[in-house]
Amino acid sequence: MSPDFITNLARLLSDGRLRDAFGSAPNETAKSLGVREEDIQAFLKLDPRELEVQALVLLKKRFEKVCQVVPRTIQGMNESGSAWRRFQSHGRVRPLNSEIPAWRSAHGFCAELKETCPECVCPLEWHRLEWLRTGGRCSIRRIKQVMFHGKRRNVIHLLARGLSGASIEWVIYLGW
Amino acid sequence: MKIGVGFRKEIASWIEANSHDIDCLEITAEHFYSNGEATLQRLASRFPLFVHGLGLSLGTPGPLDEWRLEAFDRVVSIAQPEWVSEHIAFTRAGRIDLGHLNPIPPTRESVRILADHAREVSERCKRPILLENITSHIRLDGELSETEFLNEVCERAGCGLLLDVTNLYINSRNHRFDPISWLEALEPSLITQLHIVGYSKLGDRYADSHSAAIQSDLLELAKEVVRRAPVSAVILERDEDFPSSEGLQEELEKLKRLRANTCVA
Repeated sequence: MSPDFITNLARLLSDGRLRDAFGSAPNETAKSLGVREEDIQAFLKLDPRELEVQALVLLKKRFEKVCQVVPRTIQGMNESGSAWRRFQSHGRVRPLNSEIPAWRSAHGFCAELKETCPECVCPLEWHRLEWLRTGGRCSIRRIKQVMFHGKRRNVIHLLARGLSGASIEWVIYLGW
Repeated sequence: MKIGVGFRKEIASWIEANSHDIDCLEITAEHFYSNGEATLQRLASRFPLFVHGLGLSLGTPGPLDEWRLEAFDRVVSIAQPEWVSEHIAFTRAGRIDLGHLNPIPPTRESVRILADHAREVSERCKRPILLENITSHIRLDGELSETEFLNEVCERAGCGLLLDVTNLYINSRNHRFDPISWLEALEPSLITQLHIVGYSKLGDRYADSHSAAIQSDLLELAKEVVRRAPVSAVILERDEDFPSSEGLQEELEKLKRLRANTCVA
């Protein structure tokens, strides 16, 4: 059964690479998506620039959720004005789906940052994201050079999952 | 015409302190899906409430999400609103959840889908439903103009409109059409409630960030609406960058001045 217009529009809005393909070869893209005969005219009339602006709005919403998960990482990058710019590049080629929890999006973004800009990623937040990804019961790690009141400190970072499933977190700053 | 605000926890104290000045509150249903029942009960005992949904995705073909519908109904049963509202939009399709509102094509198929879903929500909640227009950076082609589409959806669903004046203004600027002509093509008796908040600008594009004070040109458009339509309630829909208490009070005063222009039906 061919997908309806709404489903195909959702695909375009969630996937930057698909939008690029649509922009350069709309008829071929319509065919590859299996656009219904009755939807072809409306589909081909979609403006690639307008799709891009709408997709950017959606990506910004996703970025705002990621900011809540990794605020230190984002804040550190915002000092150079690069957080949103980097997230745009990252998010554009990874199909957007809000059914994926925000922490997974944050993990994917930080994993990419660790390749390209490792000093950008807050080690505390990375430890937490990795712990979420592995689903462990608890994790203790000594982490070096975490920003604390304008100075870098070594810390003990403890993460644990209670019986109810809620997570608990302690950060013990070492030395003065 | 009632004047109210969208309930946000950031301004909960201000709302409590100025309850004498606020005729009604609009709550976002999704904010109370997981918790907040006690808060909702307290609000319902102090204010007339309206319940506004974000995620039912009425424009998506196929059945509504039963979990979300049940959660929405649960909130409604606590809030006991005069009416509920949702959007002329979709947020999900297939296995993709876009997480935000997107436009639907103005076709007769969409009229059928949207109207049937609106009726289902209204019947489930045992309350009238209003449908809200959204901001969209995409123009979609279809058999109907946008106003024809809205008129037909409301007629088929037996529902009214929640006219977001800010969204109308933004779309008129970005897509270069006359909002007054747009208004004149709409059946005025459908317009039951308004949303309004200041718009933002990103470069040469207008955006609905819900974070600015109501501008004078936006207020002029709202005046045109209330002159034409028997609007029952206006809600200030501020979501972030909240001003001081004085700033919020000033926003309420703007809406009270708007009331003086109300259409006598």
